[in-house]
Amino acid sequence: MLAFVAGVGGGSFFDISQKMVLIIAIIAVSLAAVFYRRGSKILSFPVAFSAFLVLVFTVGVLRFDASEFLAKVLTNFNDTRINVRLLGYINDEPQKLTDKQRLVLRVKEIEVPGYAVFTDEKVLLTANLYPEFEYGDLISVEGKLQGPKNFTAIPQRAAGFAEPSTRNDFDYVNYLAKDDIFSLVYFPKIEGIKRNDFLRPKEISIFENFKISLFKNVFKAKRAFKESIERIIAEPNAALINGILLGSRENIPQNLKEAFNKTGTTHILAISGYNITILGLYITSLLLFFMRRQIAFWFTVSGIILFTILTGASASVVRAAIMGILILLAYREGRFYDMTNSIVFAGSAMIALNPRILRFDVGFQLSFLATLGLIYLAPILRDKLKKIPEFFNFRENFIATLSAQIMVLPIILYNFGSFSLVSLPANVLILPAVPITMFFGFLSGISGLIWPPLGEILGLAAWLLAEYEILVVKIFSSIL
Amino acid sequence: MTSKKQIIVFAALILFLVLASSAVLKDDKELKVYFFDVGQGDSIFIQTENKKQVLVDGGPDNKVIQRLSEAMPFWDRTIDLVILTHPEKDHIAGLIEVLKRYKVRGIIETGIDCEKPECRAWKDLKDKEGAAVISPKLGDSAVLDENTKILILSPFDDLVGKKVSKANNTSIVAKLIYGGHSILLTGDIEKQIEEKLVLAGIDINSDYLKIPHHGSKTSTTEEFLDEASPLSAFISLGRNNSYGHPHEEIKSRLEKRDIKYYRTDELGTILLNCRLNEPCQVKNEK
Repeated sequence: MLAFVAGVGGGSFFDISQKMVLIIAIIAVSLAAVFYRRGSKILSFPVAFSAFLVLVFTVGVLRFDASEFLAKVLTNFNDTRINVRLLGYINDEPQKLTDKQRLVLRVKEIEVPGYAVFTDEKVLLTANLYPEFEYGDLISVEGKLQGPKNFTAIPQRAAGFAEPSTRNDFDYVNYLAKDDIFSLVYFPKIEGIKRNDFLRPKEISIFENFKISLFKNVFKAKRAFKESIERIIAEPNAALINGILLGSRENIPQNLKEAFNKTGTTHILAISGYNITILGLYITSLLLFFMRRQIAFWFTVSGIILFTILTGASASVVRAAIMGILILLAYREGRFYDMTNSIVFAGSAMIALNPRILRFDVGFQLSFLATLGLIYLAPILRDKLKKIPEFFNFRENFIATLSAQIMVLPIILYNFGSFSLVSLPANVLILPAVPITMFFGFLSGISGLIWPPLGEILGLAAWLLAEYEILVVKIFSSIL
Repeated sequence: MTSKKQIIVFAALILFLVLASSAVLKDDKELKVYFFDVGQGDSIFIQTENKKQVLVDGGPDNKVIQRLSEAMPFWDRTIDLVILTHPEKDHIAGLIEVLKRYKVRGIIETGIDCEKPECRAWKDLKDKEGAAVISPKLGDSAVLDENTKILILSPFDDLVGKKVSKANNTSIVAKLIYGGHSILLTGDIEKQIEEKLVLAGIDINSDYLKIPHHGSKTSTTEEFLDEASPLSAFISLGRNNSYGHPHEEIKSRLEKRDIKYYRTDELGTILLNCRLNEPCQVKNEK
C-alpha cells in the first residue's frame, strides 16, 4: 500500500518514462513469479515481498500517468484567440464571489467555425454575478480559452486548504489540475440551452443524468439553507457560520480570511478529517445525554454521511468524512494504535481514485498528518502534560491541537512559508466554540426555513459565537 | 460537564447581549447618511433619528452587504425603504442581494423597461418579497419620521414600462430633508436633466450634494452647481476606475466655488452626521 503511494508520489515528482516503468514492472512480475514458484528455498519472504512492492510501485506510477491522459481537446484552443462555442452542463455548485461568479462547465461539445468536436472535460468559467445559474443547467458558452497561469501576486482564489496569502507564487496551474481543469474562459457569452440543442444529446449518459438530477436537489437544499442563514445573521458572521457548516469560504471578507490564515485557524473553515473528527466527538458526547454510546455513535456516523451529501459530496469532503468516521470508530473501540492500517488503506484508496491529491491537495496532506498526530502524538503528550488543569475539555483540546499542529508543521512551512506562534493559543480558544457554533448555526438555518422568528432568536446565539471566534482571530492576528 | 459548559456559555451570551444592547440604545437622536465605498457605483444608506432606514442604490456588486452590516445593528434584518434611482448595473446589482438577505418594506423605482440580467433577477425577487412598490414623480414625497422626509424632484412624469435608450437621465433625483438640513441625491443624471431642473425653477438648493454620475464630465454643470449651491459634495466612485472619474473639469468647478468634496475612492465609506440645529459633521473610515 505504502509502495503504491510512493509510486504515485514518484510519478508525480519525476517524469518517469512509461517504457522504463514497463521494464521495471516486467522484471518485478517475473521475479515475483519465479520466486513464488520455487517455493521457500532461495526465496526468502522479504525478497518476494520487496519484488511485490516494486510491482505495486510501478502500478502507482502508471496510475498517475494514466490520470494525466484524460481527454484534453480544449487545451489545444488555449490562448489561440479562436472564438469557440462550448456546450455542456454546470458540473459543480456555482461559486459566488463578491463581484463575480465561477462556474465549472463539463464540456460535451466544442464548436469552432467549420467543425464540431465531442469531448468530455472541464473548463472553469468566470462570469458576471447575474444571470444566476444552478448545478446541472445546460448552457452554451462563447468565448476564448486561456490556460491557467501561476500567480505572481496575491491569489484571488482559495487554495485547497488555506489561502497562501503570505506567499506570492501560487501554483494555480496545479491547483486546478487536481480538479482536471486545464482551461479557463473569462466573461464569455452564456446562454441557457435545451437537450435538443446538443448535436449529440446522448453524449450525456444515463448515469450522468441520474447524478445531475440527484445533486441538483442536494444543492438546492444546501442553497436554501445557506440563504436562510444569510437572511438571519449579519455579515461577516453569516459567512463564517456557512464556512464552518458547509465549508464555503468565498463570502468571507479578505481581511478576515487573512486573519484566519495568520493565526493558523483556517482549518475550521475547511472540512477536513481533522475537524470532522473533533466535531464528531463533540456530537457524540452531546448525544450521550439521550442515548447509549453505541446508538450515539451510529447517529453521529449517519449525521456525518448526511452532512457529506449536503455539502455536495465533493471529493475532499468524502475523504474527510471517511477519515472522520475511521477515527471515530477507533475512538469508540479505544484502539487508536490499531488504526494505522485502515488509515493507510483509506489514504491509498483515495490516491488510487485521484492520484493528484497526494502532491497537490494540501488539505489531504494536512488531514492525514493531523490525524496521525492525533493517533501517535496525542497519547505521548497526554502522559507528559498531566499537570495541565482539566477545565472544560481544555486539556484535551490543547493536547489534540498541539499534536496535530506538530505533525502538520512541515507541510505548512513548505506550503505557506510561515508558521504562526499564536496558532496554538488561538486554536485552543476557538475550537471549543466551533461545535456549539455549528449546533446553533444549524438549528437557526433550519428553523429559519420553517419559522423565521425562531430562526432569528437562535441566530443571535450563533451570531454571538461567531463574533467571539472573529474577535479571537482578530486579536491574535493583530499581535503579529 | 457539557451541561456546566452550556450554562456558562448561556450566561456569557446573556451578559453580552445586555452590554451590546445598552451600548446601542444610548444612541443619540441624529441623522446618519453613509456614502458606502462599493467601488465604481452608488450606494447611500440613510438612518433617521427614529432608526428608519433607507438604502439608495446598491452599487455594482455584493460589497454593499458588508457595508450594510457595518452600518446596521447586527439583529436588524429589516430595511424600511429601498430607492433604485435607475436600473443600471452599478446601481442595481447590489440591491438584488439586499432583497435576498433583508426584509424590505417598500421600494421606490421608476419602473422603466429593462431586460438586463440584473433587472430580471431584481424583478423575480421583488415579486417574491411582497414589498410595496412605488413609482415616483416630481412632487411626490415620503415622510420618514416627524423631522425627516424625502422629496422627489425628478423624473417629471410617470415612467413605468417606458423604453428608454439612456437610463441615466431617468434617474430619481431626491432631496432628503432633516429639520433645517438638506441633502440632494442625484443618481446618474446628466446635463439635460440638470438644465431641466434649473430652468423649471425646481428648488434644488441644498446643504450637501451627491455629485451626479460619479463625477463624469457629462454632468455637474456650472448652472446646476450655482443653483444647488452646496456647502460640500460627495463623489461615489471606484479607485483607478476606467472612466477617469472624477473628471478634472468637475473638480475645478467645485474648487472654483470653494465647495469641499469627499471621494469614496480616497476616503472609503463616508458618514455625514447631522443633528437638529447643529452643523453636520463628516467622518470617514480611512
